[in-house]
Amino acid sequence: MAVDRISKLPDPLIHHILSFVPTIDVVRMSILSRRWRHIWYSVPTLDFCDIDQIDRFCFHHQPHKAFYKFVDKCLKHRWRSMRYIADSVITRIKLHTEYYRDSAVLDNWLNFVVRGNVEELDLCIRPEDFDNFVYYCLPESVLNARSLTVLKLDNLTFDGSCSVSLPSLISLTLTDLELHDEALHNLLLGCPALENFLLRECSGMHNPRISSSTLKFVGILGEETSEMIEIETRNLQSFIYDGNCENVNLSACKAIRNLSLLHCLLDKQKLEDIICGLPLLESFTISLYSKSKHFRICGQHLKSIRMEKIYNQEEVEVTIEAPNLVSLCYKGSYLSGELEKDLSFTMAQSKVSEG
Amino acid sequence: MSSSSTTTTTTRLLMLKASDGVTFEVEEAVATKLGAINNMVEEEGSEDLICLPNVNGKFLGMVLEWCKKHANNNTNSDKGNDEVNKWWDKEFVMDLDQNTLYHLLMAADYLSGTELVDLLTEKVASMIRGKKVEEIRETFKIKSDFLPGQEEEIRKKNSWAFE
Repeated sequence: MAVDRISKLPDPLIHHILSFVPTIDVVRMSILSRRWRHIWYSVPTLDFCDIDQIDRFCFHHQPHKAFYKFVDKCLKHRWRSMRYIADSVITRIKLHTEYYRDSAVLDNWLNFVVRGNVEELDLCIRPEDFDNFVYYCLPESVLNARSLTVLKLDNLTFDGSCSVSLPSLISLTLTDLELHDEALHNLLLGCPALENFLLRECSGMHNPRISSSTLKFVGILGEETSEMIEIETRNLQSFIYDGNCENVNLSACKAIRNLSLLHCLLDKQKLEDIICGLPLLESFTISLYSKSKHFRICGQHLKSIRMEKIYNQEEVEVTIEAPNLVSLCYKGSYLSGELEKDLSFTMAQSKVSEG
Repeated sequence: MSSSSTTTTTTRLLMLKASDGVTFEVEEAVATKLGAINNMVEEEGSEDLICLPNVNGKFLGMVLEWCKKHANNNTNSDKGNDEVNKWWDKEFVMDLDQNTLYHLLMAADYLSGTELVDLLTEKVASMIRGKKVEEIRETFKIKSDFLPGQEEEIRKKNSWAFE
């Protein structure tokens, strides 16, 4: 006979389990039994995501309104309960929703969680009307949240000139944001502890400069507007770039161990300058594009090279000078024809030179 | 995740004794993946028998099996091991019944095996996610002990969550 085990677990373990469950389901579990009635007031992670969870409101004639109301009520209850429930802090919140131009409501929610010393914030506020984009503008409180360690911002805007102070921030991800060079610079100045920085599908930059002594990982993906990108981060270990900028300057980043250049438009000289100027490089990935026909890859510490040919192009000639190479992987494909040819090989020898 | 600090200590063996008297001989590098054992070794050394009165031999054995796999996978250099660990974790939790899951989780929590606690709590969460309350009640055999009408009262009071 199966018995109820889950109700016997101590509160911290139940909170841990429910941190992986959408908040709407957690609140609904309050009618399971007396044991479960007040549990939801103490779960440290809140997960509100309209796309994934809208089916919970499908009986409502306006599911999105019902979702908004739910988030609002839930946060208000948590706010009130904080006075009499000791372990009711909110450390992590995910809010993915459409934006109905009611910024005051969203501001209230965010101000509340920031006041409660939230540590991780994942926000995606999609514009409602795709013909006439109106983006939600992030309140200043979020950019001055002292306890924040992880921040993800997606599909919104912020005032690029407002003061930023995020002294605990370690990871920052910006997705689908219009971002000017000055705003980026201003933002990074306010993040003195930042280690991971990912920019995805952001537009509006022309000559972005990323300068920091704490950054270990930088990724710039889907970037299309920059003429020149300057990265000045002396402790950077990994850099991924996927975009069509022809001028990427990494000369100050001598500590890079992992480098990925995807859809790269750099010419032969710039490409070689980058690769050969990184004395500690261990792993290098490149997807070849039309401009880089003949080039040289060199590095004393290079252990792994991955190359991928994207478009059906003419011959590519690569010379590799890497005495410590352990693995070389090449993948070529013909996208245009019916013939798909993939070639992948790995070599385990100390000297590899290929024409 | 990182076990670089433990690789320097060669194959010193620890003796662990479960609540039912079953003993296990485990490499120190494996057992110290568990925060509680790591603390005991740091404070009291590793010569004596380590008694764990809150864990039964069957579940201690399973916890140690998990630690062993992760310790082995992590010694074979960096990349690719995350994948191996993930695959192995999936296998590890796949067919656990609720009774075992409960005792394992309690054991992992008591021994401060943070990664294992994460794995097991996520497994339980996966059994909850996407289910209606009645389905959750059925899955975990949770009996309602509300007074007549009380459940309806909660639903009404929090109608914003039940509409």
